[in-house]
Amino acid sequence: MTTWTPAAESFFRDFLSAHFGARPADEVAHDIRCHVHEELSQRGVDRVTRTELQRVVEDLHPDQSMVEAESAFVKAPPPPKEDPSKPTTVQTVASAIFYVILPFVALVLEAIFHWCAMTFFDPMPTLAHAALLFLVPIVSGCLLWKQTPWTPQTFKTIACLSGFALAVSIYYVGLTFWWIPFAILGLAYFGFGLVPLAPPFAMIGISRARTLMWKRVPSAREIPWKTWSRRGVYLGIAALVALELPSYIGRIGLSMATSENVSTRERGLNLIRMVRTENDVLRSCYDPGRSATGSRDAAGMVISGLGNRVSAEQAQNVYFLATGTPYNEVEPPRVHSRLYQRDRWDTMTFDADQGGDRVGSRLRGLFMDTSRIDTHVDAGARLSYTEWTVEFENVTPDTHEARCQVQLPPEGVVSRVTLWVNGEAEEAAFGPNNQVKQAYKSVVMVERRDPVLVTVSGPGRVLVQCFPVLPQGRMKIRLGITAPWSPDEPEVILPRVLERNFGYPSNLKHHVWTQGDGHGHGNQVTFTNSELFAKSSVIPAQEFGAKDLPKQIWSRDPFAQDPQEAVLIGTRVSETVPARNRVYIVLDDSKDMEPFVPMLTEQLRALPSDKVGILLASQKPYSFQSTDTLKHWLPQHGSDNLPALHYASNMLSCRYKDSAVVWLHTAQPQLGSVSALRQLLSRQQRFQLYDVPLNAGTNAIAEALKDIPQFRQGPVIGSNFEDRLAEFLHGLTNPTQQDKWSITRQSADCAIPANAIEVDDQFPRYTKYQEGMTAWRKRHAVAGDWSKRLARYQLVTPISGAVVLERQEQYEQHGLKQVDKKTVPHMPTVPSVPEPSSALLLMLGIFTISFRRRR
Amino acid sequence: MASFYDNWTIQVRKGILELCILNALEEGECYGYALVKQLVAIPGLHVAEGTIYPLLSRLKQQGLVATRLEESPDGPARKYYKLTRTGNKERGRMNTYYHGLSDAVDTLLTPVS
Repeated sequence: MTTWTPAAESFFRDFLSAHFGARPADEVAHDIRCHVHEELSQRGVDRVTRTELQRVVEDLHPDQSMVEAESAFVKAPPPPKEDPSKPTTVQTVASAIFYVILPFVALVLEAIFHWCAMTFFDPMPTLAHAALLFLVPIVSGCLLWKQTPWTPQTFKTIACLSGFALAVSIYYVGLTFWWIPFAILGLAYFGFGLVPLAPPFAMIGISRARTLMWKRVPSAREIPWKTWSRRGVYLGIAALVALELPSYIGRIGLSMATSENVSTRERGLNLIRMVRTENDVLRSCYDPGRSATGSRDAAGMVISGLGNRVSAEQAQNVYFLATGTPYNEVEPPRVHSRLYQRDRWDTMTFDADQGGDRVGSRLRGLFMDTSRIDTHVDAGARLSYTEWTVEFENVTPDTHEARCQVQLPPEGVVSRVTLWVNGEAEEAAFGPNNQVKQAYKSVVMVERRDPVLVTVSGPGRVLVQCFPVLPQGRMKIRLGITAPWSPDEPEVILPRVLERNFGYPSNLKHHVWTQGDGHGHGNQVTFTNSELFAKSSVIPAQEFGAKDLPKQIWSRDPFAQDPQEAVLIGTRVSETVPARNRVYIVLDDSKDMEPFVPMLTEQLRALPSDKVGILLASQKPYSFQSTDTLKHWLPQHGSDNLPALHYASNMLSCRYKDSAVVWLHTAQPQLGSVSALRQLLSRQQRFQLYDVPLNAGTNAIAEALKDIPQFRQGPVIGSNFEDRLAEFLHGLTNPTQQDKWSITRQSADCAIPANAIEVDDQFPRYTKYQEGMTAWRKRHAVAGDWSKRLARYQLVTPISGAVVLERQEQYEQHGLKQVDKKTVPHMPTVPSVPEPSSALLLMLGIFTISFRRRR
Repeated sequence: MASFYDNWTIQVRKGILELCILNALEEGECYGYALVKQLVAIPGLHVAEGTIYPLLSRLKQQGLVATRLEESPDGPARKYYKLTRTGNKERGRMNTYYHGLSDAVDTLLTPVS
């Protein structure tokens, strides 16, 4: 790098002025300077002195007469009136305000308050977007107030950055141009609207700064400014493409995936999977109250502006089909970038499903904080009673409703609901479904106070709704569940959450206590959340005194209204259950089925092929002609099971009597209308549809069919699921022997059979549940009659529910009565048995006392 | 008479110099410094280096030549010159005219003995 002495610089300026009449910024002066540099370089001069320069410029003296002749050709430009490098004060202040300060302040305001993000689109969804946007006013400022000379390398960088900023500003002006007229009108008539004008001002600012730089700074001529500037523009475009293109492709894919045309829909799903824009789709699933693609990011605004609007519900379905996972099974996306996030905005979520009939979206900041399960097995009555006590915690500044779907043990029924109000345990009121729902909704919607509602949401599952979990507050509830227990069953099956709108803290533990009936057996196990779902075995059956079980039992019925039915006697009898004429197995083809493929393949191969048909619930239902072809089964993405269920049900309803459809599936959001399937199931009694969920997650089909008696619960997942499923499928395809209680009722005065043993009041309660379900399935259950009877026995069934309200007048207002605390089921305590050492001491004491008296 | 001769040669050289520049660029793009050195080296043209740059600047303004800058590791960016389409067309016309003129003048000139 050559350096010039000040004397050499001065001499060169004089030389240019004297011989070329040129100002330093003229092109000829630049050419001469280049020539001199080259000449010096050829001579190997590093330090240019005046003497050295004099030698070099000797040959550069132009032929004066030719220069004069040349001047006849070229008209010298008129000298400028004033030096353009010195703008006026007004220009400087205006440039500072409109080109730099306004855009910068607008960006800071947006980063803090998210006005644009909440109204139109989020201009800064990521930190990279924010960096791009802040670059524009910063580069404008650097160019406008350039005072000291820059090195050529810095100059190139600035030229490149200015091109980059220009590209970014043009893109954002393109996104916001439609509101510019409104902002101008607002400014003209109301005096506000300056902030929305920040994007065009930023773009004009960077363009103006570039022009001024070219004119004012002579060294701008010494580097290929345009080349570097162009490179900056290309880089800016490349950065925008890298940041925005996936979103655009994802949004286009989302729009295509909601098309009526099947092939377009499939192409859209493939596009989402290929570009991996599932997160963008996920964001669309959480868009409350407006079009999913119409907000949150630039791509969404543009695509929706082109008329391709997609609702949040459609986006939820697309997310499932693209990924195979329901949207509410994954953590909700953050709406804004993390850097500028404040807690308030981060956790504020609009809950569109509050007080509704479905679990809906996952809420940030709402958790299940503690969980305790107490189970008592009454071996004599072959019943188990489980109490699940959970506490919800809300760490957000907003009031939330906690909702979940709980899977009950097979054939189980909710028989107790408790809510803690101000530390006091308040029992529920049971009543017909519509009555308790009405009471809950009115209290949630109007009074916004303390209810808990438990209703059946499908076979073997209940929907639990708790409101309000107050800001920074907690809410504690308890569910009591009565379920049959078999001495042949090596495990106690526990309830578990299938779908939820709250999160699990990583350290959540389920403390499970299980005890037998008066045998002093009991133990505690602690399960993690995944263990609770995967396992259900707590204590081996023989621990509960499963040997020598009584053939006859009796219990007083505390709910009997007729004194002649005050005592219930059960006698064990055996009956033969015939095999079904035809069974269809419908296999979900969603990704989450993959871990079950080997087990299911093995089980299905063991079934008689003449009786069993296997249907794959893919986009187009596919029937396996042979179980050997199951080895080619590879579940992937999400699959809509409705067409296959409808196909199987249609086949059975037309051709076979006493048949069954077994639906083995994972999560299933509602992707289509269930009305056709509902009609098939409700208009005949020739077959039953068995629901066998293999995983947690939403099941919109089950929710839509919850009031159909032909829709039933199959075996539930657990540590011994494989054997239970095999036994269930064997029972469908072969005649089996089944034990049950034959019930007789009598008055309290009549003698009890000598060999009958007394059991607790779960027995009459569960017997009434079975009678009620039998009547309901045979459509004999006239709602007003059986729903009241089942409510009297404190049972949550498809026709009766439970609600806890805060005040007595609320119950009275809705015609409900809170249950008497004396009649609710209670968890017996384990009787204390003296330790051997204590017993020995006791005997010694008695012996000593009696011996001394004798003396 | 010496001043008349000097003026006349200046006029002739000036007209010829533009033709020389355009023809020197016929073969393609050329670095400004190299172009100047090439023209200065033509015997009999007797042109000073400093004379050529104003001429090039004017030809550029007239659209006969175009320039492009290429960064240099040490010093200012290098300027490369090339003929524009117009420049090439004008060069052809100028060459034709020059040959015609030269032939015509040759018929009048007494051969140098």
